[in-house]
This record gives sequence, structure tokens and C-alpha cells, in this order.
Amino acid sequence: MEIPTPHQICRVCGECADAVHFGALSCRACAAFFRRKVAAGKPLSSSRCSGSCKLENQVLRRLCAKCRYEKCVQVGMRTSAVLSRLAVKSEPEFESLLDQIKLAYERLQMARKEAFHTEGHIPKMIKYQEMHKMCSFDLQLVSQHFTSIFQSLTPISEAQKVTLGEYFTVPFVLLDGSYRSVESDYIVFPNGDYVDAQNIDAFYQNPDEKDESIGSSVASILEPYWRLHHQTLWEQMKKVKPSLIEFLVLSAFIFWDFGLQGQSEECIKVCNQLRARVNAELSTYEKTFYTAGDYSLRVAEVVYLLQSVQKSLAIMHSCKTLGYVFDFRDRTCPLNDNLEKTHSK
Amino acid sequence: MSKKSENQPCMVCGEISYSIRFGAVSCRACAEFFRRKIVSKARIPKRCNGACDLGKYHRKTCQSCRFQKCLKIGMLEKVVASRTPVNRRSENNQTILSGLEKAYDKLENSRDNVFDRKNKIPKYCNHQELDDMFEIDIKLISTHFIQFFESKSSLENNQNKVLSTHFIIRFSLLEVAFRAFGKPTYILPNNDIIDVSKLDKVYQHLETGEDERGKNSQVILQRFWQMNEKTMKTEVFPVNLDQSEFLFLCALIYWDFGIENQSEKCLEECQRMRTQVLKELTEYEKSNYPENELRVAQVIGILQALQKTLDVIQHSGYISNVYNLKGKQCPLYEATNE
Repeated sequence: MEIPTPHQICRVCGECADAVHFGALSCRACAAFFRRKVAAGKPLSSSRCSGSCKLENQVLRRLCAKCRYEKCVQVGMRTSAVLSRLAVKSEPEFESLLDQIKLAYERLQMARKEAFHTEGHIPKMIKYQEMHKMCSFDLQLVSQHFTSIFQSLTPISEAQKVTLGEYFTVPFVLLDGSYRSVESDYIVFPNGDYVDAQNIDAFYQNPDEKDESIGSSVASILEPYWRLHHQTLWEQMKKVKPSLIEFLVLSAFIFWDFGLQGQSEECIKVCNQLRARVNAELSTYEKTFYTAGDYSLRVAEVVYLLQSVQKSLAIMHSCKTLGYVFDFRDRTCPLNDNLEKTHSK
Repeated sequence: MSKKSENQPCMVCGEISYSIRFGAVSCRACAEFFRRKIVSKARIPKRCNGACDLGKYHRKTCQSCRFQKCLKIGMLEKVVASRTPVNRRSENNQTILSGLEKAYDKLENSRDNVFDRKNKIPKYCNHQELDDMFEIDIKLISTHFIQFFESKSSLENNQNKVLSTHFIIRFSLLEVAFRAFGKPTYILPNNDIIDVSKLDKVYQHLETGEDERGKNSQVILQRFWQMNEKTMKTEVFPVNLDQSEFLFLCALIYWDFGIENQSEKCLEECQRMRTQVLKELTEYEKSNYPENELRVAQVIGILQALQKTLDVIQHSGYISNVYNLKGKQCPLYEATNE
């Protein structure tokens, strides 16, 4: 369609023309103007001029759309040439990353309902043994239904996908747990059962043990870590109260992470690109849906939670290290196995 | 200031004018345009040959022609200036950012004096020198920078101490990265250099140049240096913080959460201050970046990168204890265990 003709003058506005557009010699700006008007298909307003406006430079040509359009037609631009091009531009819109992640999370929630029989289940306060059992099973569900969607969206080698998946599990479980517990005074688990973080002595008791002091001593050693954890992540989540989409954005940021041992240069690059896309989708989301105030401030508050998750992870590591010094026996947190995997790389 | 005039046309755009403004016959729109340009002191882009039509429907098109014509017909800049309040911002409205800038200037000036930076020739820094330098710098930071934070929030002395200890290591890490400006070396407060690709410079002995234990330290700790450098290179340097953004991050680091021994009252006060800082940050980005919410996310994201870097240092400290490399690990590690 375009025929190069260097050093000629646009016949509409007198600027340098770079090619024949839509059948007439014109500059790119006038060609784009003409295309926009034809594509819009609306009649042009004629209330402001007598039809003889000057169009001879890049400033004046913008003043009167009607005169400019008429001159485009006059110098030979054809509407049919525009319309024949419009038909080609029907490429499907880029599918949203967040939509796919949301579907995956819904599948995860469905799988949890089936596995834990949450329909009809009456929530109750539980002890460490029950929590450990449920947690271990939930980790499998997360890997199967949620981690896999991120891995499929990431165009890198299988080995790198596995690495990202291993690093993802623990921080995601922390984030997911705090998200689920936002409306509650307790820490809520996938099956609806809960733990009172203010009373972990009860949590660490084993009814089969005759000596209650074992549970009490573990509780007293770990109590500062529970409190710190609560301040770092749970309290911050309660303040921000992220929506489902915002929660999924954070999950995506956690999966497409950086600063991981064993992460290749290519993996770092790909993760950066995907995080940039997620960032853009978060911005679009907040612009569209956040009406309670300044959406920029909201973006800041949501992204800030990533630091909370990172801090929580550091507390988990400290807690795990403590387990080497003291003998917690079967009271050790089940997430420690996953932590060990990533930490010893 | 205004004088009655008999139905004269505005000498800029030709619309009906009823008064003389800023010393010339003009309509309200052109007078207001002129006032805005004088007050904002913004540069007016020139996109034409200076002969644009300035009729009622066209006068908005070319700012430079309109402004030139305002001057040409006799509008006076000093008349605009005389109406603007002299002290638009009173002392009570001082922003956190302006306070931060003053405090940081004080810190930088004191470093110039103590480290004699203007006359100093930068060189690679040895770990012993690193220890000595940071010992001095921590005092300077406490005296000139942390004092600002303490004055801004009302907290007890022991809580201020908790926050200060927490702040120093994080601030030092963020600052050496900020000063690096994307170069592969860290610039220390005394202008000396650490190059991660030349760690032997760090671990050599000061006098003899040779150090067996230094070599062992380098071998074991090298990967931690490299991991942190990679994090900085991919997450901090590309953001290209300006000084204001850097200072906002410093404030967020000081008024932090999830610190051991932090009281409930301290948590609340820090939360309040962080909210205020975030508001100022978002307002700042709106003034300076077209896609301000993306920029905000990038800047806040650095806090996570910083936390990761710190976690690596903690881990390297743990490894150092296992291998009995005391004195050879990152000197900032000692600060985290105080």
C-alpha cells in the first residue's frame, strides 16, 4: 500500500511526506488522522468554521478536524483503502495473566473443598498434630493445582521451573494463610479449622503425652516467633485487606521471583518481564476498580506486602535454625522440609 | 489594580476585554494564562515559527506565541509577582521530604569533613578498613540522620534505639547501592570501592597482602557476595532511584514493622508515619513520572529486594560462625546481632 517517495511535501499540511498513504501523498500524521476518522465513522462537527481553515503546519492542522478531513479527501485519500485494512486487524487481544491465575486458584479451592470435606464441616480449634497432617496434604494440592499454572506460563527450562516451584511453596502458603485469615481473629486453615495465635500453649499440647511441660516449653521458646510473624504478615494483611485479584498479583510476584540460588540469567530475565506485565495489570485493575481513594497509594500498599512476606520467610528460617539447637521432636513446623530444600542449594 | 476600559478588544486574542490586567488590555483568559506561566516558571515549548493565529478558538494551541504576545502588548511580570504570597509554605507545613533532604545534607557534609573525601583518592577497600570505616560512619549516621527521624515521631528512648539499630544496616546497604548508580562496584561512604569481581582486594591482609584465612573466607563467602550483587543488579540498579525516592525509602526503613522488641505503641506510631511517607511518595511520583503508579510499585519493590539481600547476609553470618571465620564476614553482620 505504501510507496516510498522521499523529500516530498504532504499535500494536506505541507510537512514532509514520507509515503503515499491511502492513495495520496501525505505525512504519517495526516494519514493517521484520516484513518482514525474513517475508523470512528462519526460525522465531523462543522459548527466552528467556514470551511477554509489554514492547515499549513503541524500546529494549525490540528485546529479544524473537518477542514483537514475534507482536504484529505480532496487530495485523493480513499476511505475504502482504510476500510480494507481494518478487516485485517482482528488479532485476539492478549489474554490476561491474572485471569488464568484466577481460574487456577478457583480450581485449587475446589480441590481443597473435596479433599477436606469442608461442606458441612464445623470449624474447631486444632492442635499441632492435626495442623501438620493437613498442611502436608495442602502442600500437595498447591503444587498440583496452582504452582503448575505459573510453571506453564513461564517459558523457561523444566529445571528452572522446578526451582521456581520449590521457592514458591512456603511463601505462598504464608500469604494464602494470612489472606484467608483477614476477617478472623485466628489463623484459619484450608479446612476452616483454626489456631489461636495468642494461646499457642494449647496448640503444642499432645493429649497422649503425660508430661504437659514438653508442650509448654516448646510454646515458650517459639512464642516470640509467632508474635513476630503475626506482626509482620498477619497484621499487615488485616490493614490492607487485599481483594482476590490483589492477592493473586502478590502470588504472581512471589512465583516470578528474583535473588534465588540456582536461578539462571535467562530465568531472571523472563521473571522480570512477567513481573512487569503483572505490575501493569495491577495498575490497570486499581485504576478501574479502586474507588476508595488514590489508586497510586493503593498500588504502594499492595506491593508493600511483598516485603511482609519476605520478612515472614526470614522468621521461618530463624525458627528452623532454632530447631537444630532445641529438640522439638514432632512439633517442628511441616514447612521446614521445604525451607531446607531451598536453603541448602 | 484593574482599571475600567471601554469595550476594547483583548490585544492578545481579540475577544472583548473590560479591564486592564497586568498593565495591558486583555481578557480574563489571557491574563490568567499569563499569570499561570509566570507563577509556574515552566519552560514554554516552542513548536512554531512565531506567527500563529491567536483567535478565541485557536489561542490555546500555541503557548509560546500567546506568551510572547502577552509580553509584547505590555503585560508585566513584576505585577504578577507582587500578588503571589511571599511565603507560600510556612514552617509548619514542612514536608517529611524536605526534612530528610536537610538531614541527609548534614550527614554528607559531616562525612566530607571526617573522611576528607574531596582530597581522598578512592581505592579498593580491605575488610579491616571496612570495619573501621563503618564504626565511624555509624556514629555519623546516628548523630546527623537518625536524629531527624527521632524528632519526627514521639517515642520512648529504648524504642528509638530499637529502630536505630534496625535502621543502620538497612540504610547502609541501600545507600551503597544508591551511590553505585548502576556501576558494578559499591561506593562506600568514604568513597572507597568494593568490586565483587575482585574480592581478593577485600580479604587480603592490610600490610602483608597475603592472608591464608582471608583466602579461605573469600572462597566460602564469595557466593553470598555474588548473590547479593545479582539481586542489586536486577532489582535495584535498573530502577534508577533519584535522591528523593532514596530518602523516602530511608524513612520507610526507619519506621518499619516486625522488629523484635518493638512495642505496640511503637508499631502504631511507625504505621502512622509510614502512611504519611507513602502519601508523600505517591504525590511526588505524580509530579515527576507520567505512569506514576508503575513507578510507585518499582520503588516500593526495592524494599523486598533489600530484605532479600539482608537475609543473604544473615545466612552468610551463620555460615561464618560454623567455619569460624569471625572478623572476615560482612561487618554489617555484627550490627544485626547487637
